[in-house]
This record gives sequence, C-alpha cells and structure tokens, in this order.
Amino acid sequence: MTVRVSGLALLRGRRGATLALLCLLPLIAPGLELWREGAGYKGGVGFIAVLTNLCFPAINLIVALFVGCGAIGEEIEGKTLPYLLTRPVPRSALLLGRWLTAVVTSSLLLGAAYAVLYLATVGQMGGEALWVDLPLLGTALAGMALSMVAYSAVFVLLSVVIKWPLLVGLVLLFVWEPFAASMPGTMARYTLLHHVYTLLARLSGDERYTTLARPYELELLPAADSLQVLAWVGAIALALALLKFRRKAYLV
Amino acid sequence: MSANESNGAATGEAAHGAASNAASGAAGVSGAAPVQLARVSHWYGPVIGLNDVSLAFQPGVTGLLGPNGAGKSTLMRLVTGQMAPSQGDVQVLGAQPFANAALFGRIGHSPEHEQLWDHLSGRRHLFALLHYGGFAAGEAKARTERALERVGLAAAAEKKVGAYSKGMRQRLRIAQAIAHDPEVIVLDEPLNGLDPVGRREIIDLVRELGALGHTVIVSGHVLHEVEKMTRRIALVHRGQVLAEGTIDEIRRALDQRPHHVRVVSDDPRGLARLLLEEPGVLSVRVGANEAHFEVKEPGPFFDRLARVAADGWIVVREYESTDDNLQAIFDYLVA
Repeated sequence: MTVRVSGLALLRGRRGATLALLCLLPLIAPGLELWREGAGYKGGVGFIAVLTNLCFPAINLIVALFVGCGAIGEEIEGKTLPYLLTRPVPRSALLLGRWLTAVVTSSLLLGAAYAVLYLATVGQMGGEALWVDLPLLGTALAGMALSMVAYSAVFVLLSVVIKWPLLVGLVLLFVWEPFAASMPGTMARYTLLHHVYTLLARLSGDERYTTLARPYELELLPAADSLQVLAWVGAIALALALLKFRRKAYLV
Repeated sequence: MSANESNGAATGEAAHGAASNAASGAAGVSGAAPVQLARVSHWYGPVIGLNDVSLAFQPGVTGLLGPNGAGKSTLMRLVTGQMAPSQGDVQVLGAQPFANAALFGRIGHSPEHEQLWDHLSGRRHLFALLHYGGFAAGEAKARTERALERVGLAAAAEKKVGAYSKGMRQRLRIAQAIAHDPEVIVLDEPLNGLDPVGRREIIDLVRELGALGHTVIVSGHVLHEVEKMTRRIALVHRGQVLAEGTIDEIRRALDQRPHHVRVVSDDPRGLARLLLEEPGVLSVRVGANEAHFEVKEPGPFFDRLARVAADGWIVVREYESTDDNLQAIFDYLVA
C-alpha cells in the first residue's frame, strides 16, 4: 500500500524525472566518446573504466543521496507530509515504504543503464565477449545495489535528524570520503566506498576491478567483512531513522 | 494596564469557567466528549503555542476562533496527532492521537496551507490517499466520487491539481478530510480562498456534517462566517482559551459587563428620558434617530422597552443588542 503510493508520487512527479535522468548518466561517457571519435570505451576494460571514473565515485552516490534525502524530504519540502502522517498507516511503514520504493526504482533504472553500458562497451568485442564478461556486469549490479542501500539508509537518517541533509550529505560524499581515503593507514576503512570497492574486487575475482581501489590506496579486506560493514551501517542507520521518525513532530 | 483591561481579563476567566463547566456537564450526560484536552501546553522552543488549555469538543460543529498566531493550528495539530503536547493530555475518541495510526482512520484533517500533489488529477489525488489509507481500490473509487460530488469538484476531477484555483484546492483539501467518513473532522480555515458561492456551499457542508453527528472542529478568523457554521465556539488568543461554549452562554457569562443596545426611534431623546429611569441603565448616547444604551441587566431593560413600544408613547422602529454577536464578544475578551 505504502509502496504503491510512494511509487505513484515518485514516478509521476518532477522528482521521478530527475531521478530517471540521473540514472541515465552512466551512458553519457561512452556516448560522448562514440560521438567524438567513433570508438572509445571498449570491452570489459572500457566498461570498468566508466564504472571507475563515473558510476561508483559519483553517479551512484548522487542517486543514493537523492533517494535517501528525498524519501521524506520531498513531502516536507512540498508541505504534503501531513496528508500522509494523518492516515491510518504507521509512520515506520511510511518511511520504510517510501525508502524501499525509491531504492528499488533507482536500482532498477541504474541497473538498466549499466546493462546498456555493458552492451555498448563489451558488445563492441563481439557476442562471445558479452558472455565471457558477464560476471563483470553481475558484480557491478550487486555493488551498485549494495552501495545504494547503505548510502541511502545513511541519508534517510540524515534527512530525519538534521535540517540540511543534502548539504551534509554532499560534504560526507565529496569531502569526507575522499579525505579519509587519501589518509595513510586504515583511515579509508571509515568510508563506505572502501567497502563497496573491496566487495567489487573480491567478488569478481577480476583483476580489472582492483583498479577501482587504486585511488583509495586500498588494502583489500575479506569480502565478508566489507559486506558486514555495509549491512550493519545500512541497518543501524535505517533503524535509527525509523525510531526518530516515529516520534518526530513536523511543522509543515 | 487600564481598569478596562483588568476587567476584560477577569471577565474572560469567568466566561471560560462558565463555559468549561457547561462543557463538562454535557460530557457527563452524554459520556466522554470525542475530543478532550486536559491542561494541555505546547511550546516551540522558547515560544508558547498553547498554554494550559482544557477543552472538550462535543459532536456537532465547534468554531475555533482567534487571530493568526493565536494557537488554533497548534491545537489542531495536537488533535490530529501530528505532534504530542509538551504537557497535559489530549484524548480523541478515547485514545491519545499522537502518531496513533489506528486512530487516524477516524479523524479527518484539512490543513491550512494549500499544498497538494500538483502533478496528480483531483480524482487521482483523492483516490491515492484513500487507497493508501487502507480502502480497497473499488471502495476507494466509490468514496472518491462521492467526496468530489460533495465538495462540488466532480466537473474538475480530471484536471491536474496544479491547475486548480485556490478555491478548488480548498475543496479538494476538504474532500480528502471527509472522504473516509471520519468521526472527528478538523478543518483549518476551510473558507480561505473560496468565492462567496463556494463559502456558502462549504458552510452548508460543515453544518450538514455537524448535523450528521460528526465532531467538527473548524477554525477561522472571519467571525461572522464561523458564526454561520455554528453557535458553539472556543475563543483562542495567545495560546489560551479565553472562552468556550455557545455564543449565548458566553454572552451570559459576560453579563457583569454592560450590554450595548441600539434603539431606532422617531423620538430618541424622549425614549432616553423614559428608559433612563430604569435602574439597570448605566448611560445613554442619543443620535439623530437612534439611542445607544449601556445596560447592566438586559432582561428588565428589554421588558421596559417592549412596554414603551406597546403603549405607543414613543415609536420604536427597531432595536438590537450590538454586542450579541461574535465580534463584540471577541473584542471584549481580547481587549
């Protein structure tokens, strides 16, 4: 029920259009390259290059920020929250439903964009390459979904707890994470992206994915450790958000 | 503070006490009132929104009156469970409303602000909220049509809400508040943005809802419009309830203050001379064809006036108590 209304509001609103555009961004780089030179990002290497340079360090994060902060933020901003808060639906179901709808929708849209990107890059190497490099796509989709869940859960918490979640989220993504990653020692482990990259490298077993780790001077952890970190961060952030949202008064 | 101001405060307390007692009595007779606030305070940081308010809302329409910032919307948010009181107890249909999802199916709320989901049509908007609120698609559809018809929006149901006029948005907000047939209906400034015909229709709708036994709380600051919807009011000012009860009850509670009576006559001077003999008449001001009396006890005064008119000594064309309306009562209490 909650999911149905959330989806309706999400997909038909301006926010839905913005989200769809954001999710199409992974196709920009190879598109531009093809238009400029007629060839460009090719094969598995080209696919991973787009993921490395554009998707994981930027697009996924922005989409997650958009999804997390918008789950309730859009209704607060639009002053439509009272209509939802005064219906016989528990507040926790409302928040969880809207977040889940947004995560699933954006993951599907991003996933579709990844698939097109895969066809556009790996497809250039022939039909056999498409089959051989399929684990690359699978790993990318899994990594994207995991990062979407963990990051957006953190941003949902921010949106429930603080007044300017978008701003704080941007600082977290584009100031804290690169800063922590560039510090020597184990500081990089205090970023979510570190664990997403670890999982991508470990799960695929493909050397090419370790290029993702390079800018982070990454010392790879066991996959299970990173998976646990992402799962715990996501679960705790979401639980705290639900707890806070259940008792919060909104003056809209 | 002037003597008048002191009197006003004292009178306000008297009115509140009398009306509250009346309300308690009514509650005692017919069981607990559907909406009750007991010593409720709410503050926003250092700002007091409501201050020690005790009120009981019975089935029927109750007008919540007060200037902007008086605390009406705070009270409505508390009743509709959007926030919890900082102190005191709010009970709606026997339960605390804050974040009480189980109760929300029995409460309808139309907020003051006019924001809605602009990208949906009026019909879709209403349907989505009903469906979200737990009604099966078929039932939600039927209720949507009924509510649209009831607020006069059926013809514009397919139009996008973003293209609605202010009045149409108001109607849609009221529609979503009543579509699920709640027992308690809270309408925050429901006449805002409506044209005269629309106002008439919504006033009739509110009266009808009250007559059907719903507990309707309706706020406003245009006094004569609220008066058209109900004779039962609560006057809110600076976070406090100055008076509560029917306009007549409040007026009676204010009897220690002088009444003002305007009498139109062919001989206002002669009339003034005659009526000044009455012990309850405090003062008189004579105009060209009317006299304004300040009267302590209106009952004997009106008896005497009727006798004068009946005896034909002086022609009395019309008379009215100029402070028997809401505006006068409100002016008394907030002065």
